[in-house]
Amino acid sequence: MFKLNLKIAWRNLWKNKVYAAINIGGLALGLTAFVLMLLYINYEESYDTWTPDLENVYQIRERHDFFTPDNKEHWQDTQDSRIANLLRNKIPNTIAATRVQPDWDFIKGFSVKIANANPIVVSKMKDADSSFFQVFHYDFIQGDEQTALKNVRSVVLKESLAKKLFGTDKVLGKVIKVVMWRDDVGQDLTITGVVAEPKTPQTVKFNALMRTGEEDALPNNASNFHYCQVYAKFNTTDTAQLNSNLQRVYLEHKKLSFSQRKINFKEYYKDGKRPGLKAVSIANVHANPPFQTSWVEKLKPIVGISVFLLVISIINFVNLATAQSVQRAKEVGVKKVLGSYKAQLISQFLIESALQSVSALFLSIVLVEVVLPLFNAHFNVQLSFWHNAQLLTTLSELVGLFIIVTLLAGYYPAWILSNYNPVSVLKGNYENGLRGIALRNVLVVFQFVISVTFIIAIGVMHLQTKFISNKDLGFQRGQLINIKSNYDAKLAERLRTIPGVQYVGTSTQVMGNVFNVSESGYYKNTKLNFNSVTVSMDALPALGVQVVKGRIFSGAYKQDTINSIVINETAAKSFGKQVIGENYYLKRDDKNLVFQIVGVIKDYHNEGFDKVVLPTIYKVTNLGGTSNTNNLLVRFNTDNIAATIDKINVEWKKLYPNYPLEYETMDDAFSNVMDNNNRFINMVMLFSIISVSLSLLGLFALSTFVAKRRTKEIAVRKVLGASNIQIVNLLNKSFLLLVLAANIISWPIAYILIKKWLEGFAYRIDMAVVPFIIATLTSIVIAVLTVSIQARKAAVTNPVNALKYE
Amino acid sequence: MIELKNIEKYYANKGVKNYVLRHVTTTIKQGEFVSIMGPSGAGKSTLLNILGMLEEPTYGTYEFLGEDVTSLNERKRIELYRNHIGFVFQAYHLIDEMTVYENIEAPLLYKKIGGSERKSRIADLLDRFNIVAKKDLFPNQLSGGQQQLVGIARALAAQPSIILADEPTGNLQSA
Repeated sequence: MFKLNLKIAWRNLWKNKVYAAINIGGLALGLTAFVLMLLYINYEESYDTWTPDLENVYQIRERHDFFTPDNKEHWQDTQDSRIANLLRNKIPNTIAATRVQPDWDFIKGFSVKIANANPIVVSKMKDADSSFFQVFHYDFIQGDEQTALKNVRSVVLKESLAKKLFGTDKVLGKVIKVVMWRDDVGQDLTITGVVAEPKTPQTVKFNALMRTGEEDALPNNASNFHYCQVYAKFNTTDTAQLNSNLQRVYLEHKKLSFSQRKINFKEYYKDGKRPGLKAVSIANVHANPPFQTSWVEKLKPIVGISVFLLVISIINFVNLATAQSVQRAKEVGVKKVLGSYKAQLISQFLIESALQSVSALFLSIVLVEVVLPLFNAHFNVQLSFWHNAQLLTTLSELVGLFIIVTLLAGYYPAWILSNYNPVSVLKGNYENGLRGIALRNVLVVFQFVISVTFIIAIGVMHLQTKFISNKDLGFQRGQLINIKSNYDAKLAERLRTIPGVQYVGTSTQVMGNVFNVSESGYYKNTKLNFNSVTVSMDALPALGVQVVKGRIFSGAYKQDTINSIVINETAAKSFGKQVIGENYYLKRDDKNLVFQIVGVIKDYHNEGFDKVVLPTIYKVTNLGGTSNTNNLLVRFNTDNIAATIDKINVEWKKLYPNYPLEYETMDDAFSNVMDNNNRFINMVMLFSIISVSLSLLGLFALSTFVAKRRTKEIAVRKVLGASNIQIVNLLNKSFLLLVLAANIISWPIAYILIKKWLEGFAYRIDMAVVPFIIATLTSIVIAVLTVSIQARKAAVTNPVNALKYE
Repeated sequence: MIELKNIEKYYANKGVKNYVLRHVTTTIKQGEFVSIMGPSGAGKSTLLNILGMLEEPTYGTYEFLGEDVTSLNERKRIELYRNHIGFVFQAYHLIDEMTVYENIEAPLLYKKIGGSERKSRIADLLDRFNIVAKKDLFPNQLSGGQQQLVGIARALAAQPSIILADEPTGNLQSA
C-alpha cells in the first residue's frame, strides 16, 4: 500500500509538474532563508562553548557611572586592574582570575618582526597576565598549558599564526619582535606554546597571547589606574550568591580607594549613581555586549522577515494543495467505498506533502551551499553548513523544521481531502464537496498583506537612503585620509613639506574612530553635559568644517592653545543667542578653568545617521581632554592622492622602520558607516523580491486551478454569448477583491513597522504617502496581469472542447 | 441478507418535506439478482446509496447480514465495504493515477490479501475480462466500455457478498 501511495504521489507530482515545481521551489527558497538564519543563530550561540570547562568562567563587569547619551544603565567590561587581586584574595570561590588587555577597535594590530624580514601587522595580539590559561582552557599543540606563561616576555601563538609566520607549528623557543606603536622600541617575546584553534568562536579572541608583564603590574599609587578586562574561573555556578559577594567586596574596595584618594564617597555618588560589580557567565557575554546592540536584537527583524518568507511558501503549498484537491476528489471517494480508513487517506496525503517538503529541504541545502560564500562575505561571518561544531544541532533542527513544514503544509489539505463525502463526489458533484475556499481566500489575502508591506517598506527605505546619502555630512570627506597614529610634531612637519599635502592635524573624533569623552561644565552657574573633543590647530580646517559664527582656531591667536573653545551648533543651543566671547567653566579640584567661546561650527557627523550629533566642545589643549588620539588627519589639495601617499610612506619609513603605515580614506570610513544600514536594506530588498515573486507564483498557480475548475462554466457562458473580456473580468473580479482587501490591511501594518524603523534614525524623512500608493497600484496591476494570462487562456479556448470533455 | 423496513428519505426544504423514498420495505436474499426500475427522479440512486451505506435513511431500519446498519460508525462501515460490498458506477470512477492492474488491486490491498493470492486473483480477472494486454494502461487510455470492464473487475476482485451497480451500462453505447 505504502509503495502504491508513493507511486500515486509521484504520478500526481509529475502530472502537475509546473505546480509541483512552484511548490517545491518556493518552499526551498523559504527554507533556504530560514536555514541560513538557523546557521547564523547557531554560530552566534556557539560562542565560548569549545570546552565544558568554560561553564565556570565569568567576565567581570563594573557599573558605568559616567554620563552616557542614552541615559541608560551600562555595565562596562573594562575595569581597574586591582579587581583581579580583589577576586583572588577576597572571594573564596575564585579558582583563577586573569587580566586581559581589552580590544581597542581603532588599532588594527601590532607589528611583528622576525629576524630580518619585513614587519607585518598581526591583529588580535592580546596581552594578559600569567593566569590566562588557568581560566581559559586551550589545547596545546606545542608547549604546556601550566608553564607557557610562567615567565614574562613569553607568547603563545595560534597554530594558524605560527604557520603563517614560520611555515610550521614547531616554533617553541623562537623569538618574535613585537612593536606596539610606531615609535615603540619593541620587545622580544619567546614563543612558549602553540594552541589549536578551538571548535567554536571566542569572545576573548587572540592570534597571539602575550605576557609582556604589562598586565601583571599593579599601579603604584591609589590615583593611578590601569584598565583591563578581568575573567575568572569560580568553583560555583550560583551567580546570585557570587554577585552579592562581589558587590560587597567591591564596595569595601571602592570606599578604601576613595579614602586613599581623599574623595568623599557620599558626595561622589550623591546623584543616584551607584558603584556596582558583577560576574557575567562567559556563555552570556557574547549575547550581551556592553554599550552595543546584541546580535539577538540585531537579528530580530531578520528573523521576522525569514519567518514570513517561510510562511508565504507554506501558504503557497496549502493553497495549491487544496485547489488541486478537486482533481483528487474522485480518488478519495472511490477509495472510501473500496474500504479505506480516513486515517489511511490522511497519511497518504501527508506522505505526499512530506515527499515535497523533503525535496524542498534537499534543494534548500544545495541553495544554502551555493549562497553561503556570498552570505559570509556580506555579513562578515564564517558560516559553513557541513564544517561546523553544531552540525548535529543543525541537522536535528532541520528534521524538526521538516516535520513542522510537512504538518503545516500537508495536514490541512489532507484533512480537507479525506473529509470528502463519497456520495457527492461520486455523483460528480464536486462543488458540494469543495471546502477550504474561504480559508484559501484568507491565505491569499495574508500573502498579499506581507508582499504589499514589503513593497511599501522598500519604497520608504529607498527614500530614506536617498535622503541620507544626499545629506550634508558637515565636513568634506574627499581628499582626506586618516593615518592610524598619534600626532607627532616631527612627522607632521615632514608631511607638511610634501607637495599636495594641505593640512596635517589630529582630533579625538573622526568618522571611523570616534572616541566620545563626556565633560560636565558650567555656563552662568548652570551645569551642562558635553562631548569634549581635543584637536590640533589644523584639525578643523583639515576636516573642512563650516564656520557658522566667529572663527575657528588659528595660530595667529596665542590664547587658542590655552583657553579658547569652539562649539558646534547643537552645543550652541544650550548657551543662548549670543555665544561668541562668552565664558565656560570646568571645575578641577576646587579650581575653576575658564574657557572663552571663539566660534560656532556647523554640526558634522562622525557616526551613522542613526545617532544624533552630540553637543560638542572643541579644544586645542589637553586640559580636560586627551592628546592620545590615534588619528592623524591629512588633507590633500591634489587629486593625485596615491602618489602623495607613497611620499608619505617614504617619510614614515624613515622615522618608524619597524611599524608599517596604516591609513583609511574618509570615503572608506563613510562607506563603512553606511554599510550596516545598507546591508539591512539590501536584505529587505532581496527578501521582498523573493516574497513578492513567491506570492505571485502562488497566485498564478491558484488562478490556473480556478480557471480549470470553471472551464465548463466559462464554456457555457461563451456559448450563451459572453465576450472574452467579460470572461477575463469574471475571473479577475474575485482575485481583485482579495488583493484590495490585502492592501487595506497592510497599510496600517506597514505604517507602524516603518515608523519604528525610521525612528532608529536621528535624521529621517517624514512618512511618505507615495510608496503606499505605488505598492497598491503595483500589487493590483501584477495580480490582474497574472490572473488575466490564465483567464485569457481559458477564455479563448473553443467551448466545444470543454463541453465535450464534460 | 438485506432487509429494508419502512425506509423513508426526504429532504427538508423551507419547512416542506420533499420525499424521495417512502415506505420502502423489501427483503433481498443471497444469490438473488434484483433490478430496480423507475422513471428518473423516482429515487433509484438514493435507494442504492442507502443500500451501499453511502447515505442514511431519514426513517426506517436496514439490516445487512442480520445486523442493523441503519446508522453505523465509520470503522464498521468500512469493514463491510472491504469484505461484503462491491460498487460499480455509471461513470466508472477508476482512479486516474493508477494503472488498470493497480485499480483492480486496490480493494485487495485494503482487504490485506497476501501478495501471491493478489497476483493470481488479478491475473484471473484480467484473463476473464480479456484485458490482460491493457493491464499497464491508465484509465484515460481506455475506451468507455473498457473502463467499465475494469470497474466491474475491481468490484469483483474482493469477492464481495453483494455488488451494487448504479446504471452500469448507462454510459456505454448500446452496441
